[in-house]
Amino acid sequence: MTGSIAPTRREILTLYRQYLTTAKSFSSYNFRTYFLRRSRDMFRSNLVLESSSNPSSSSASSPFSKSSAQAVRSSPSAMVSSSTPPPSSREEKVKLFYQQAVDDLKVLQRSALINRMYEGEKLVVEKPKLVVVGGAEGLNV
Amino acid sequence: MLASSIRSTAVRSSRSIVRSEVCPSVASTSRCLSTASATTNSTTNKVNDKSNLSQTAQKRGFASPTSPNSMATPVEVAQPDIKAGLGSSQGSGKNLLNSVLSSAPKYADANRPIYLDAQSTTPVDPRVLDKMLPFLTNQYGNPHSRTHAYGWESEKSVEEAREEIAKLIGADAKEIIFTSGATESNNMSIKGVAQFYKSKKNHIITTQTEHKCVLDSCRKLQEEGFEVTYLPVQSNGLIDMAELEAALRPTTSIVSIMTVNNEIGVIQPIKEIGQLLKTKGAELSKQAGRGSSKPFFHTDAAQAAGKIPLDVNEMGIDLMSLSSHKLYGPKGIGACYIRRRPRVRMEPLINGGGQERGLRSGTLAPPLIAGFGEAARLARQELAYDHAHISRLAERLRNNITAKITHVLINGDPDGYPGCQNLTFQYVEGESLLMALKDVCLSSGSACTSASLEPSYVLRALGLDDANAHSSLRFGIGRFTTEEEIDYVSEKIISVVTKLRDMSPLWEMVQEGIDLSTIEWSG
Repeated sequence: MTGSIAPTRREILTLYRQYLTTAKSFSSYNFRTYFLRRSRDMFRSNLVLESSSNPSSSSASSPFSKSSAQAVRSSPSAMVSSSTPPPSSREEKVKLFYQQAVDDLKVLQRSALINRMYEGEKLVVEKPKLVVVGGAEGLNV
Repeated sequence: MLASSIRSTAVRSSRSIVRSEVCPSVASTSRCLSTASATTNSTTNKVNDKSNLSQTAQKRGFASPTSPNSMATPVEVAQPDIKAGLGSSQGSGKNLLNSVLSSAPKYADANRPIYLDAQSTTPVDPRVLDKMLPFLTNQYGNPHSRTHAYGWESEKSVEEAREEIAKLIGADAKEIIFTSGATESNNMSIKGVAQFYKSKKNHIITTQTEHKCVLDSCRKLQEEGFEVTYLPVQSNGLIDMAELEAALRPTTSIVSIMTVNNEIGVIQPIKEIGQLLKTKGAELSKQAGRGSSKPFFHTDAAQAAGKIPLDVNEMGIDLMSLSSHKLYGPKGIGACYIRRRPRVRMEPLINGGGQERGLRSGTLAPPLIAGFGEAARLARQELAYDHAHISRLAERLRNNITAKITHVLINGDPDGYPGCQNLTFQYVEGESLLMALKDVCLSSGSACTSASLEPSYVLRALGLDDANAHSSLRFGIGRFTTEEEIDYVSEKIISVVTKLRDMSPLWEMVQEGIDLSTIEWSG
């Protein structure tokens, strides 16, 4: 790892994009949505400035929803393991976060690959919604 | 295509004709070939005489090397060139990845049901699997092998995992014993402690809403002559502290109360119980003058670990059962926390090679333990994040359902663990509700008892009558549950419950204002 140099804005954005691409490549619906949500919240809660995050904001859990612009405050400094001392400056914090995130991306990529290899059937919620005008209810019971 | 193949065979046959022309008669063919090979041999001798040096040396009668077998002390000076066989060098595996991914089965239809049963088990987190795989492929050493590298690397990972699990519950790594799961941990704790202190103490306290394995262990001990108090619970599922205090005796050796209930999600006042045992319990034991040790506090935290914050020291817990597959780890592994100071002594259930401080012999499973450790690490890291997500979904589920249908009872303490929602849909048969909900995986209670049609004993202990206990469903929400799933499920539930109620004559009577309990049914 290039430890001493703080990551540039561009590097962080590239990493973020890599996270999203990897998360989207999971074949299991639940894992895919979780890792998308997680990646988004992780980057936002760690990198978006404190002032913009509101503790009472109830963000939508769907990773696709753009409605919540705010980061979920409850998310821990996800990738920063507690064994390391709390970083002093913001720059330090970002640097530490970046390094951890780069390492964890590898885990995520391997996980996505394994998940793809053993793809399962799709969940019922993944079905594209058909607009049916009345009548189909009887199938349920 | 056909024409070309014919042509190629024609060419081949013409070649063979040419060869036969060189050696005209069939009988002379072999001689002809042998002379040819002889000439090639001589040429290679000239060109590459190194390889045949030893052969020629022997032929010429020089001093021949002594064969190693006839030497008195075979001393190997240098490693000989190891000529590895076929496959010793790794190929590039070009396009392997693409072919694997493209040949993975593709499913066109989307029929797999939604999983909402996080209390029975949870999916293995992909990050956990990633941690496990090295131990299922290359690193297969026995962690108890102290003589070689394969053993050391396995042992190292086991100890790292132990550390992570200890951290999750605020314990020391030495206090964690790996078992096969929470059931074994529960058996081991209750039976082990009770048996060890048998000569002085013979009383056990537990609650009526415990998991089957605790209740059954207690029943077994009862048969052996122990006295067991099964504490009742209040209508919200919590125990009454005054009742626990009254139940304590000088002879109480162990109190076993679960942290989070697996069916209704109530969180028992663990800290208060721990405190009570330290004060009142210790006092009683001292009064009896029976060697002073206070009643030990065991808690089954299989449903709690990684879901709510736990600290064994703060909560005064002496023994704790943990399970890996309830916190997104692999199945088949669990752990038991056993306090070292003051020391909890117990009889082991399984005797053998003395692994795990002699309390649980048997070779450990490094892949499972590594997975459990990673799951514990993730659970600690994601605890607040997951809890917020799960609370939000639970609230959404409750609101969705109660907004559309009436006569829904929410079982258990409202401040319980939100990932476990137990709802009663009155005047609807639970099993027929489950049958109608084909594309949702739900349970009407614990998985262990889901095969029987008996109503849940946990719900009965809350004071629910048979009919209501039969109409209850448990919704288990986990880390990977999404809002879309919750919306889908609540929509389904609403439509099915409405439909079933429309068919029910009981529901009709309720709508007309008839109190069902006043009806005298003719036999």
